[in-house]
Amino acid sequence: MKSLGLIKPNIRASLFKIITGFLALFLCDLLQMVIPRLTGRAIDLLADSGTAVNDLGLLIAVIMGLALTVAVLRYSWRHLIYGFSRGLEKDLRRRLHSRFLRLSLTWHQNNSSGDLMALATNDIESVRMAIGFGSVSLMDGIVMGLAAIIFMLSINPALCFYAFLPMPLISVLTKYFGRAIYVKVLETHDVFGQMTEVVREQFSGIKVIRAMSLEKLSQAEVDKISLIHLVKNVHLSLTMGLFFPLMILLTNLALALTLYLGGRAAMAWTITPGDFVAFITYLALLSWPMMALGLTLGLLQQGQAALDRLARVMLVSEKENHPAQAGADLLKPDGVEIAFKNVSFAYQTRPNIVLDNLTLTCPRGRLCALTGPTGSGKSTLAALLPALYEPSAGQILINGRPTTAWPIKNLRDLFGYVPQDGYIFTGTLAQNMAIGKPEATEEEVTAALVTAGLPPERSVFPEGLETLIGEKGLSLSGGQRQRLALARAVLMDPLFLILDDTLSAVDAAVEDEILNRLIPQRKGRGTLIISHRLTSLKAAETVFILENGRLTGQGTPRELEERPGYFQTISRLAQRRPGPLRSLTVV
Amino acid sequence: MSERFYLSRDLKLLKYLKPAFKPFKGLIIASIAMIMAAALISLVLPYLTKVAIDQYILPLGRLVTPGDKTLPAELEALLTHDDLEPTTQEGVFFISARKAAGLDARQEKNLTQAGLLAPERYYFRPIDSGFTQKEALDLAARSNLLQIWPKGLAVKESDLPRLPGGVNLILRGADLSGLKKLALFFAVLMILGYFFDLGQRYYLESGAQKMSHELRSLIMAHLMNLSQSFYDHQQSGRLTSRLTSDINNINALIKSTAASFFSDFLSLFGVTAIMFLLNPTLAAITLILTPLAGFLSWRYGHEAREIHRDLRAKVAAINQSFNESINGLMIIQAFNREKETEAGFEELNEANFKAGARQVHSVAVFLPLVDLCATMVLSLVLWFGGLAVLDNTVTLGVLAAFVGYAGRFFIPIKDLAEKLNTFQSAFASLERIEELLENQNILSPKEPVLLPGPAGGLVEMKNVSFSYGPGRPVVIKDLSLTIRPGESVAIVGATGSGKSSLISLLLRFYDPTAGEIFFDGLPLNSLDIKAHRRRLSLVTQDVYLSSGTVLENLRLGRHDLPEEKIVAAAAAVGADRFIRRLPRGYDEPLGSSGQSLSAGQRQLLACARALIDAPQIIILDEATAFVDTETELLIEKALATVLAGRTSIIIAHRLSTIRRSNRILVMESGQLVEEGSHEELLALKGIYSHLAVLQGLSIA
Repeated sequence: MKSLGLIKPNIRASLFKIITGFLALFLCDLLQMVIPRLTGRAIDLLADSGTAVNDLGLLIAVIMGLALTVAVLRYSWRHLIYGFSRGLEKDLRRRLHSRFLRLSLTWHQNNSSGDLMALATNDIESVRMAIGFGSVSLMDGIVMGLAAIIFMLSINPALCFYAFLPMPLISVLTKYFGRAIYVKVLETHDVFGQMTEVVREQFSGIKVIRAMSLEKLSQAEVDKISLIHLVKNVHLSLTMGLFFPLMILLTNLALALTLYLGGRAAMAWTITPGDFVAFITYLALLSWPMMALGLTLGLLQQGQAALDRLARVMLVSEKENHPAQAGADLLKPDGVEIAFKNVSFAYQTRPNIVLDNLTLTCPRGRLCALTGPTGSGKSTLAALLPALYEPSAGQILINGRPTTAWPIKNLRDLFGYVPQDGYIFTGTLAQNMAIGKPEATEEEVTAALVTAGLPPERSVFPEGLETLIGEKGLSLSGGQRQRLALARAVLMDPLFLILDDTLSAVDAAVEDEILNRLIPQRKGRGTLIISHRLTSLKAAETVFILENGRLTGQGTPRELEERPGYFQTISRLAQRRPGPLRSLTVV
Repeated sequence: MSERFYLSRDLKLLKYLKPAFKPFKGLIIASIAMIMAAALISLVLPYLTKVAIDQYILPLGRLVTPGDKTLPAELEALLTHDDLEPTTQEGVFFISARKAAGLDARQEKNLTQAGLLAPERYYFRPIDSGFTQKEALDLAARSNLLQIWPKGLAVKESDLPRLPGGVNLILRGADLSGLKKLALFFAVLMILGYFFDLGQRYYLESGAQKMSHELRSLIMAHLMNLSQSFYDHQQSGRLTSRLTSDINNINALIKSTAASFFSDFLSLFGVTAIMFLLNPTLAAITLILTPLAGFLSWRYGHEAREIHRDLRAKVAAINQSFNESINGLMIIQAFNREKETEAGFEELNEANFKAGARQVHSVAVFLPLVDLCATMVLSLVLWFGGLAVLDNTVTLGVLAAFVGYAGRFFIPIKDLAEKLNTFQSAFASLERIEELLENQNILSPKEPVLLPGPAGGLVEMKNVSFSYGPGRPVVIKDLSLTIRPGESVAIVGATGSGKSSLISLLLRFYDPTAGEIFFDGLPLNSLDIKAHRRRLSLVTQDVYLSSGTVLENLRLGRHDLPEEKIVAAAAAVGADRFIRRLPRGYDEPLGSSGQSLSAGQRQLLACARALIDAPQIIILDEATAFVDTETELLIEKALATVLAGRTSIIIAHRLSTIRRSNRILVMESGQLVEEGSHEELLALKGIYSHLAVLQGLSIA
């Protein structure tokens, strides 16, 4: 129940709304039961020969008045209660989103994005359904159920006993089936998701499928998942089909019992025949609230479970990024010197050590490069600089101050970080660029794109900077994405630029051009280039070699070429293959 | 996609469901029959309750005094003299409850006032096989409230509650067993109803789902046959939703049509007909608000659909944004853009809230209004019907029936409003599917010529030009070339020079706009496309992987292929090593698009496949992104194995593969501009030598 604290502020803020809403709902339920009784009264009046037209008129006026009141009450409670649940949904989602943004990458690594998305979609929706629809049905069920039960008890308590015989069974079955149905519903949703993915794969790979004449196989893939989808849905309907008719059957069997026992009681004159009819009518009426109650309880349970999951993320004192140093602003320095001191690092999700007691320095204004085999820890090293992760041991000093002692905002303002896969947000080219510098002018944005080798030409971007890109717009190739990510960082014009294998998907020729433009611009400020390509590495003043998380070499490219080691190996490999080209490179 | 509901056009669209409907006609019809049976059974309770009361619980008859042996006019139509039971009083006869029930309230009143019908009701127990004369006499001795009539025992209604319990039970023995039978009958009927209900749900879901599956399969087969140019203008996401959400909409249509549309319309018309039969004036009064309710439903149905669509789009936008916030978190944090991201998200969140609030409002107005209509109609019926009852022009029974029907009349109207939504989206989906199925852009020669034996491998292009459509730029210009069997040709050129288009033409994704292509001397457009493509093998950077196991992915549906051959091919290209290191080796499932494999590993699988295929011609579209030096060497070795002794056409990025080629073609703007061996081209100092200089510096 601790998780209720999550929605307490919302409840407190809307307390009046909620209470009024439920009051309206309660009145509405009561009045709705009165109208049929008044109708019955009217008919009784008419059966009595001495009825005056006035009496009938009065009764009808009351009915109409009540109907109007019910309509107004209904409108009100729907507005108040469902309005509140929608508002709560919005607020929860907003808070969850902000929370996600501020949790450390380490935390995110421990939680798959699929799970987080489930929190943001299914769980928040479950809470809304429980608070809105769930609580309303509960109220409905309780009011109508109680009223029916009270009427029935007042008619004949003994008969009630028999009539209620199947009720415990109904509750037990509802609980069991509710769970089973819930699980099956999730399964069908899952399969639908998988089916969507499989179908999408066929279409996005259509060229390859065609070229290899795999049409049959591709059709079989779709048929296979479609068949699973079919089976899961039929299973779900079978479970639901077992449940709902069974509930109706149980109520009906209770009715059959009441028909006999109640009829006998009426014969023996322990109840009147009128009571007998009323009893049966109420019992038939009761079956729906009982069933609804079962389903509602399921809905409330799901809501509670969802709220618990949300609370686990939002209330638990999980460390947000550098909360302690969020305060005072530091003056922006005019240069950046980076020093790793005995830094070790391991991801929490994986056992192996990624960086092992690493010590290196990239002095102020220097163009450094980092290379090494795949998996040697290069990208991790890059991500440690803007404190996306914190070292497990050792210190990273920025201008002599450990990263953990920097206000996080100031620290990150120093770095322009370009990761390996250029991530694109849905939106225009300009919006994607704004991440680097929101207040940049159009000229600055264009200049940055030109530097990064992705000029916003109309032949590529039909709407120029306003071209929609990403999921809903123009899809960019890997190379284009990388260049866009680079342009972002170029636009930011940071004191220290980190290029993490940023141009791996770009033609060697284009890469060369980009570096020729970029490197002069970076004069006097720090840059770290991580790459496999000799072109990039040879442009650097200092090259670091990382193998298995350890520094195995450092020096100028020329020095490293002379020394046996990784660098010498790769440069020889490159030279051996084209043979005569080696002499041409000098030209 | 039109918003409106054009009946004739929509009905025409149903023809696309026909092929899917045919095999499962039985299922659907059976389920509809069961729905109707279950609906009928669910109606019996009020009737059985009435039967229980009238026949078993209170079968109270009346005493009638016909006087001069002729029956009063009101009774004459109801009974014959045989229906009159003699009583102990001369000239006074008993008529059973069932017969007396034929009188309506006014007739009864008239007869009673005339003194022909006694006001007191009687219970009468005739002597028969279950109740002997002796038993009757014994029972009569136990209570003086029982009167002994010539043919049985009788008791006054007012005396019934005063009978001793034991006497009552014996007297009512037959009624009690009748009631028991009735209750049993009800129970049995309900159990029957249960099976109908169960069967209905199961058959309907199976039928609808099987139809959906069939439809999906049909559309997929059709799409697979469409020409590649069809796909140039399609987004894979959009095509995907044709096969997923659109078919789901149709599934809902099938179910709701069968399940409730029939019954809603049926009960609407049924109730109307019954009402007009009972009393046309009151019926007209009941219907007076129907146009209003109908209009409200119509408006609501449209609004609901619009809101629903809006809401769905908003939710999708929110989810996408949320997803991007999570997946792009590294960028957001690294650039300190948390606040800006929040602001963007909040905008979407607020828009979604507003759409949701609109939905709440729309429902909050509609539902109470329709219910208000129902109660207003009820009031009108009570008022006018009540006046008519007082006027003696309408019986109380008829009024009671109208009160019941007036309420029931609005339930289907409300239901139909909700269904309208399902209907419209299903027909919109059908329309989109129609668009796909009507596209007959299929590339295949009229009479395919089978390919000759495996000796070939000769490729010729003669004055080929190509553009992706009228008005679009010409990407290949008057290009001629010959590739001899066993020759390895590399194509080099900048992005956009026409390399990929050339390959697309060779695979016959498109036909050239001018000129001709020959394989082994046969014109390409006379060859069977699939057979042709099977003799080529395309190895590209995006490797097609299904969700099956490694083995299945190498086998690609060829079930006759022995496993040893597959493993041998994998070993030959060096893929064997990493496969064996997978937890389940060759039986390791690859999951969605083989995401668990690295780019290099996927490429190795592609090479293994190509080797298994043993095609005559290999087309290689290689890419080097994200592959480190070690993996690259591995792939290179694999390719060397695959290419050995085959005709190969290579779009090359790696100098090593280019160097291995017999001939290098350099393309620029859709034309061949340089041709020759590596050394020859370098000596030319043209485009190639420029590219080579850049490449030579790189290790990848």
